Amino acid sequence: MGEPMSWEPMPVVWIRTSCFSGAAADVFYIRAVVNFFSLSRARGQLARGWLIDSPPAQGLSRSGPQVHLRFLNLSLLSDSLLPCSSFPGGDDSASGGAICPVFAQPFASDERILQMADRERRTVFVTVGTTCFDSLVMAVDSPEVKKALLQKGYTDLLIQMGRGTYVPAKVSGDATLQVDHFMFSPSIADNMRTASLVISHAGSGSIFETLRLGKPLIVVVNEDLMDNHQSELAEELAERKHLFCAHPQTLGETIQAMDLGTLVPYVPGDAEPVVTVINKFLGFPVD
Amino acid sequence: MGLDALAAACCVLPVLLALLAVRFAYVLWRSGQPSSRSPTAGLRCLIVLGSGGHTAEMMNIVTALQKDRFTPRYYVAALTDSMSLQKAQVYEQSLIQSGEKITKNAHFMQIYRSREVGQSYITSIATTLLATLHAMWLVIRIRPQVIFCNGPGTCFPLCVCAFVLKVLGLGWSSIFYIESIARVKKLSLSGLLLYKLRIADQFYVQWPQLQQKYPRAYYAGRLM
Repeated sequence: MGEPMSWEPMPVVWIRTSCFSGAAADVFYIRAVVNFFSLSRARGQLARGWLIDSPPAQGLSRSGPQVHLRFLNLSLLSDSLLPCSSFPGGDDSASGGAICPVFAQPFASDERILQMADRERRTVFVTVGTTCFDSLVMAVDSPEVKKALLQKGYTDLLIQMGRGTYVPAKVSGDATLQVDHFMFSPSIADNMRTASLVISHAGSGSIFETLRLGKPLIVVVNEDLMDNHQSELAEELAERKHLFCAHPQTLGETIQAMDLGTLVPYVPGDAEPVVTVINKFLGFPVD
Repeated sequence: MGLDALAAACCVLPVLLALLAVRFAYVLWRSGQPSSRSPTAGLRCLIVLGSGGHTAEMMNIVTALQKDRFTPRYYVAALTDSMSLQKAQVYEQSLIQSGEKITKNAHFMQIYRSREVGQSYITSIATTLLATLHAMWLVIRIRPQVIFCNGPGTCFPLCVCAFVLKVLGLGWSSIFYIESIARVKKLSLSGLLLYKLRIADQFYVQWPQLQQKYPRAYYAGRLM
């Protein structure tokens, strides 16, 4: 098989995996690839080799593509190419979740890949931002919270622990909740996108980023902070049912009791009205 | 001779103080008044950025601004905060790439902070003095006509310095303060001071319940 990683301008189909990363990325990526092949086969075509991730200049994703492209033997030849648009979710912000249900019968070329792809992953992403919030990391690492997460059907726990000193144990294996952690990452947005649930500190940046992505969110308020105005925002948004608000001690109960169906999608704000008033004040004509 | 000078000073000083008081009162009154004339050229803007969500909110405002009216733009962030200026730089770069007028109309500056988290109170007197002097230097250099800020600690000395220049008749600026969305029930310290001292020309809050508490504030929706 030839080296598949060349960035020639030879579009086959773009599967953007830049929004996938971490442990979940591999599975999502394989799913995208498998489904791409099954689609081609269903149409009586054979896909041509190159499955292209974002070119390196745009920030090639960290773990997945190269490795998996190799054992997928992509150098199959075809006589016709699929345009991007014919591949649902293959264009732009492809979500791994959206791709899958479309094709029930994956192309059975590699049992191992299929086994991996068939396993439904539901990741909980925990983020403390740039702060030090050990009590949250300890809380999510507690048996009580892990049990609650398992009961709710989550399979992975990914913890961004920031400047904290408490290091949770990594756990892998199919039977139980898989736990992984890291300190900082420039691509926290990617982790949020692949997550099924986000548990965050009360910083407004993390809160609004998660809400904009439409992910279910539990905000945990840090009681150790002196000037704790941050809880104001979390409580107000919880009252408006955009998220759940918890404290480190009550996180387990909150997870057990939460009903994601009660959450109301957050409509992002708009700076336009403020800017209009400012323009008027300064004497600019109203457009 | 010495006595004469003293007597003259005794007469002149009260007059000067009275004039200053009158000017001060005039500036206070005038600051809240909308402009009746339409500006003929772009306005020099001072945009104060800050970590902890402030920059994200401010960039939402900047995005909505008419770039031809609000130009040139001077971005200021704390010396210890490089992320905020980076975000502004990325945005300004994207404007150039998207084919807006390619003139150098964005500038980026850093300012000393009056107090770092956890700094002792005794040393913070000296650093506050330094920060205020630096703020004055920046305001004199930039001579902003419009100031946008939303709550980081660095915005207070900048606004005070701009106000002092107004009183001294050395430049006029309209100060817009938009309280951070994180403030739901109470104003931040910077916000409270600028509201109470009436330094801000217009004061915005992002939650209606806060507007009820501070009636001179405006509520015009959320930024985030």
